[in-house]
Amino acid sequence: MASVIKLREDWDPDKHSSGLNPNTVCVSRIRRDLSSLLKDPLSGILVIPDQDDITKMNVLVTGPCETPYEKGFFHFFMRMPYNYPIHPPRVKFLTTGAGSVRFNPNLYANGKVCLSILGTWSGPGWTPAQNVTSVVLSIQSLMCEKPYHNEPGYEFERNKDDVRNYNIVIYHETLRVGVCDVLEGKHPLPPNMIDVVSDSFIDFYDYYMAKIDELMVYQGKPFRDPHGFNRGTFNFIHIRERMGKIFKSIQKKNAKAKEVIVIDD
Amino acid sequence: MANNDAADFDVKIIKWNVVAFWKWIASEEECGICRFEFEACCPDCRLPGESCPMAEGKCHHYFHLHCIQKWIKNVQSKRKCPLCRQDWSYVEDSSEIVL
Repeated sequence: MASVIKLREDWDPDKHSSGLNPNTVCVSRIRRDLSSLLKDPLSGILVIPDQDDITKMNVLVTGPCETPYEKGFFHFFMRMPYNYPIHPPRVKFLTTGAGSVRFNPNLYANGKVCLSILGTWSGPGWTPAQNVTSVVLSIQSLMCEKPYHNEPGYEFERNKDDVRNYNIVIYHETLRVGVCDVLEGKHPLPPNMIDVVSDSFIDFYDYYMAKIDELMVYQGKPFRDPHGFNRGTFNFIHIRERMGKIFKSIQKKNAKAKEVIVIDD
Repeated sequence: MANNDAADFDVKIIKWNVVAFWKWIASEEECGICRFEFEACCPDCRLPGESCPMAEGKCHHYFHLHCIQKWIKNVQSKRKCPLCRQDWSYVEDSSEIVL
């Protein structure tokens, strides 16, 4: 029998906080979570706790290979409640092009992350055996090969090419918002994340160019998002221009940094 | 001292220290909720041992008694084990300390 599941409304870490100080269990458990993450780092995931408040952390998920999110930079803000781990953290997705892009049926443009363990989706709920690692892994797993199917009722492709059409929109938005906007500073990142993202961008540059070439056939065509979430026109030419500029400016910065080192010697 | 009685070694015991080692018998090393070892106490307690015992569920998962109590009394737990999500019930007499 299907029971009525009450999804939490107070998911937003910016708007909801008990105002209570974290208890000793909460703080010691967060430390444990973070030290186990340091011991066994997760590939493509960076978790940086706030220097002044350990209950707040910034998470950077690099889009997994072989998915339309590949090599995009996705920023999340996570906040532990005062009674963690009895209650789950609150998580907000921030790489949304200022609330204009819905990157996944479960990643809303307003930042809501729909995951059953966070209490924002139906299914197996939170248990205190979960930790920071399991939460960020669940988030990363939303960024899958065929995100079209994440929407309930879309377990099968309803119309021919729906999966492909949705993926192309996600590829485009990943390159436009998850790479260009992030690197251009349109989306504010914590300072220690900016360096990581700039270094990765240089490493990933050849991939970006190859992907743009592959998708250039869609240039000028309108988005065909089968879920109707995202509207727009494919403009890979513009993305390529932006990336070229970003590449040059990072190289310039790196060259300057080298000069400084030489002078220091 | 007589030469023919080697066993009669003259040792006088002034003081002795007994060292005992105790351990909770569990299939896991640490509490699945607070992630501290069972031989340490839960984060709310100061002294390990009988005052902060370990609890075993019928599903054979182990937690500090204080940690699992906190979870179970929370409505959202639906009285399920945090590890396997089966209905939680205590194995009786799981709080046995073995020396």
